[in-house]
Amino acid sequence: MLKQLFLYTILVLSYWFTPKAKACGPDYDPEYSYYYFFDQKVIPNDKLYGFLYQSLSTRMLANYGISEDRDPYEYRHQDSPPPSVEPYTAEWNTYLGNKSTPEDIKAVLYDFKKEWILTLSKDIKKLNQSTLPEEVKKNSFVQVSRNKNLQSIWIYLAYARKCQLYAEIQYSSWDDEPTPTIKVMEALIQEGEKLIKKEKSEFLRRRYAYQLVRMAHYSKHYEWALQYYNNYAKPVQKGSYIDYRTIEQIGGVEAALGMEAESAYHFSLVFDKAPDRRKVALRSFRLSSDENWKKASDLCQNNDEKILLHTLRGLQKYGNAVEEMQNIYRLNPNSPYLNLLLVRHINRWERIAFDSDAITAKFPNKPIKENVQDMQTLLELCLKLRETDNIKYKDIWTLAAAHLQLFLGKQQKSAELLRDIPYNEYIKKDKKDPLHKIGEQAIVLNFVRQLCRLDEINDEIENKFYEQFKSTPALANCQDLRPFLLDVFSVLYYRNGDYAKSYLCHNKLDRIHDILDIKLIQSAQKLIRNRQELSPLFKDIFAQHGLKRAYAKELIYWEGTYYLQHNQLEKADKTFSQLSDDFFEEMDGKEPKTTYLNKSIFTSTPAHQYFESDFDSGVPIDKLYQNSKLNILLEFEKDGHYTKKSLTKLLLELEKQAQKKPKYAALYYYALGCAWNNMSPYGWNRPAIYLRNSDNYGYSNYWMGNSTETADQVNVRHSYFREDKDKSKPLNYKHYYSHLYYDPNIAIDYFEKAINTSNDQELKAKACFMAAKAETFKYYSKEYTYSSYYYNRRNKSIQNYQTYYEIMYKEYKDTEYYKEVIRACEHFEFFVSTYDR
Amino acid sequence: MWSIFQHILFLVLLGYVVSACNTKSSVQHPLNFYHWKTALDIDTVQKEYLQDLESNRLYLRFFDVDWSTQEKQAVPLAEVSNSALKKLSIQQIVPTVYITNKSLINSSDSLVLVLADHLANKIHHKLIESQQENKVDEIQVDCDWTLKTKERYFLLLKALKKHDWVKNLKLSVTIRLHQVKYAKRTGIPPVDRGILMFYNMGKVNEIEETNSILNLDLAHNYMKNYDDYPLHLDVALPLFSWGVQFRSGRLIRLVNGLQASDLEQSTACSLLKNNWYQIDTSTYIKGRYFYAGDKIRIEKINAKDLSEAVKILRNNLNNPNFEIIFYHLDHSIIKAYPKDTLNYILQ
Repeated sequence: MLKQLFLYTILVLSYWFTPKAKACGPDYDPEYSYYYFFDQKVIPNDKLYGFLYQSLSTRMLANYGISEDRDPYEYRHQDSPPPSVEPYTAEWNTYLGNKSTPEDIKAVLYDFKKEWILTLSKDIKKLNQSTLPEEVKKNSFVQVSRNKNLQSIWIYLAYARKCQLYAEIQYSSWDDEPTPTIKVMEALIQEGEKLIKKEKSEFLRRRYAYQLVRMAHYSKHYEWALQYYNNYAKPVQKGSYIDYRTIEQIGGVEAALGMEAESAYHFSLVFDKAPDRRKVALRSFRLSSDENWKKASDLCQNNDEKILLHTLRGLQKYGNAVEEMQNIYRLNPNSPYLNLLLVRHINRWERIAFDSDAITAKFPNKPIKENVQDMQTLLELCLKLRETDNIKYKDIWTLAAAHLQLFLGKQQKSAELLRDIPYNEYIKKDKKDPLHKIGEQAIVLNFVRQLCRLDEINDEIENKFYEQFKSTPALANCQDLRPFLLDVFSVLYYRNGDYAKSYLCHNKLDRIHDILDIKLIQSAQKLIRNRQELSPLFKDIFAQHGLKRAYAKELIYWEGTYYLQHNQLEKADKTFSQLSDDFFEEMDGKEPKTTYLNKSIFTSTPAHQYFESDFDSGVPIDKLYQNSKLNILLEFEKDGHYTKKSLTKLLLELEKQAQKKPKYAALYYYALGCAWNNMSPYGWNRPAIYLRNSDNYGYSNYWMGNSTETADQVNVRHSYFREDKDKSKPLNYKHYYSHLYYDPNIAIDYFEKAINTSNDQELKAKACFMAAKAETFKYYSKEYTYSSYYYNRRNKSIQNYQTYYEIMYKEYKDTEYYKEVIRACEHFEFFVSTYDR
Repeated sequence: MWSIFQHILFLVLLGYVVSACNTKSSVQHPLNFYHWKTALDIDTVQKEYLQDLESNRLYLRFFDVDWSTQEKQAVPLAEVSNSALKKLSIQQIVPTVYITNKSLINSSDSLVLVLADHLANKIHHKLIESQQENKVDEIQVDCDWTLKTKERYFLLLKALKKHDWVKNLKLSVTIRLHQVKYAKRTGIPPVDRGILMFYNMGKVNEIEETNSILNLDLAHNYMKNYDDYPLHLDVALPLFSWGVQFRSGRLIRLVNGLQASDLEQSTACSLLKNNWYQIDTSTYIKGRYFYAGDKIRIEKINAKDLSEAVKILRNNLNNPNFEIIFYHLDHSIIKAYPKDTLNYILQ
């Protein structure tokens, strides 16, 4: 019996839990899924920007079942460092005795046509007699080389151009690599060898070495590459940028030869010395054994080089920054890479704390044990660093410690640390001075800290904070601060019962129907009536949302819809009557029609969900009433097109008819029940009260509460920073279906009335089965939550939604309709087949 | 005399019992493998393993297709080399290509048609180059298509099917469990047959999960719509293990091929409970760096579960003699799942 019950449960539930949630479910897409309050610009070295934390997409992993190594080098907004040609042009300019300009050098190196360079490589002295364009002749690089008779430069550049063609050969990935290129590259290597031997300038010899190593690498002559490197590029010249490009090639060669430690060591040098190759170096860095780690460490010339290995390991997708920072601290507490890992790791915490995952209750809204431990470890390191002598920009560590204290909920300690930072003094400094940014960050963090301490809101408090926010450049320029401010205000206004303000902090007024709530609508109506008295913040919000006076009518429309949704038909009728018929037609153009596809609202097929079993199962009006006792309803159907206003009137009329004509009362009640079933989220006519334009559209992330009790639990990401708040409960994320109000009891009550007032066994059977459908909707609406779905559903008792199945089986077994249902409904058939076992 | 009779009777009965025990299920399943690694080198051990199992058809990953922002088109990645392919002495090959959803999302309809052409030509060209063309009567596409990519994916499949070379072959695709269960929404791919991937059904990122690769409790929930599913279905079953690495309660990564023995051999980690391990000292294990405090759940497949999986599939699939393709062929797999184990699974 238990086994049968279990099987039945699985069968029924698996049928009911159709893919709504999966297929068109709530992709959580909040306006701001996380905040960064710790700006990477506090790092004194702007060449290190661009290593923000990138979280692992667990959803992606879950979907694909595989891990994907994604780029740990993430840019955000405008902080992407542009590819830099500066180091190359600077070296060339030095070689030319600083007589050229960066622009002219850049033009020669990157923009000159190949033919121009070939012409110049033949005889630079004949420049004026040549037919080369004026832009070539007037170029300062060209002129200096001619004046100094530096013919060898042009011979090298012509050679480099030829190599370039094969180093960056463009062919579609769908084609096989053209094999002739290997032979051409080999020829170029031979040519390069001759040229390098002739060349006396060390500056040019190193560039030839780069080209030779590159060609040997790409033509897979790895041993040759090592040989050229050892012969021509070693020892590395201090400050020579081209040498690090050569080392990058050697890193690749060593990787191909299985020399993992050497390769990792060389890529770590490139990472350090060649900012424009940093991304490639980080991607290419790989160490896979303790033995190779030791070998790579042994190759390091000093502690700063060892730090690079720790940095690159820490920056890897799966790196643990805190442990690597501890390692780096022991080697050199002044390493700039400590700052880099610090910012990245705090950004990681911000991401985790404010991530949408926190909202979906997958992770509790408080630091779990391991997180606290990790934060404490980092905090200790920060405190140690701010106490260490000779640390540059020590207040970065003070700032970080203050932020971590905030994460740990220690408001007071955070405030004390922030007080130690002379930020008013710092922000007076030049904007390029790292101390200026530290000062700005301290102001931001202090503002965040104060915001988190707020327990109440009123106009005065709102104005004080908003004014401060707008008038302080450090705050106004922090792009994440405004949404955070609104986040905090939203919760506090909700607690005050000022629902419209709470809602408007994150949502537009014209999406108010997404979570049709009478308190919210009435609050919005009040706010609009008193719009002359709006605070500066809400004036700004309304200005941004483009609020029009006309929207008052739409609020009436939604108010009426709310009453209709709750079967308060008199109120709905009264509310709708304030609006013209034209207005409803106009609204029909903006949202799905109340009925559509010309399906009767009184349809009563045995299928549980019309659009699951068959898209055509809704019955056209004219067919529904053929040879049916239900043809009495035909007069109410008209053409099957309703507005909410006319639908309300129809339902009211049916109620009245049931009172007036007791003989037909059961039919009217039955029809009303069917109408409500069809207006359920599972029926064709759901747009009557089911208010979403599409199943994913308009989800209001920031409006979670249906009652003030939940206001403390919902939407309180800032409570992460509050030790005094109970964070033991996860955020009260509700599945988005929970916003879609529908009361199946309305339909059940009508079917009960139909059963009680009818003498016709067939109609009773129909009403009973339809009540069973409504009962299942009821269970579905109440019990279904996405997160508990997988683990709990097998444990659910099904008995609480099979009462009408049982009645159907026991009392209406002899009806024709019973036979029809047994054939049409597999659930009922299964129920019956297992009932007595 | 009675004693001799007793002996004969005993031997007859014993023979009967033994033969009864040895009797395979009347259902026969062709048994084959996926080869999913980029480096292709089927050595003698693997060959013998395949021969012992009478497996003569290898589903060989030829390359992946992903979107290239640089080329602004979907491009092939991690190709199997033609020279390695040339050495392959398996009777039949099914070239298989994995396509990311990103490739489809970023491709316009016209680019999808171009992609179909590229894809077919590339496979064909590789087969000609490696002189393996006559071993191929089918190609397979692997893509976890979504509602967003369904249209383009199906367009790609239709275009592939019309390709001059492919039209004479069978075209098959991999099918995820949810794609059958929710077939009305996810659609039926326009191909000749589907390979139901009967694995990765659990929630890998959840601490409470015990085995996300093959969770038979959950598998039951997915067994719906098979009666009505219009496509001929065969089955891919998992023969792999991985480590699910957690740090501070969050999933960090999946370490393919990581086994309990790898962790047990390391002095840097200890067993927590069941299939859970903890790293005590930061160290490299199997090429990956693990930090002190990391926790690892080892997920592997046991023969009993696989046998149960086969039973579930027999009860649900319309095609009783469905082919089983194990994912994937590898030395560690051969060691962990010898021939007898696989035969047990099929009983």
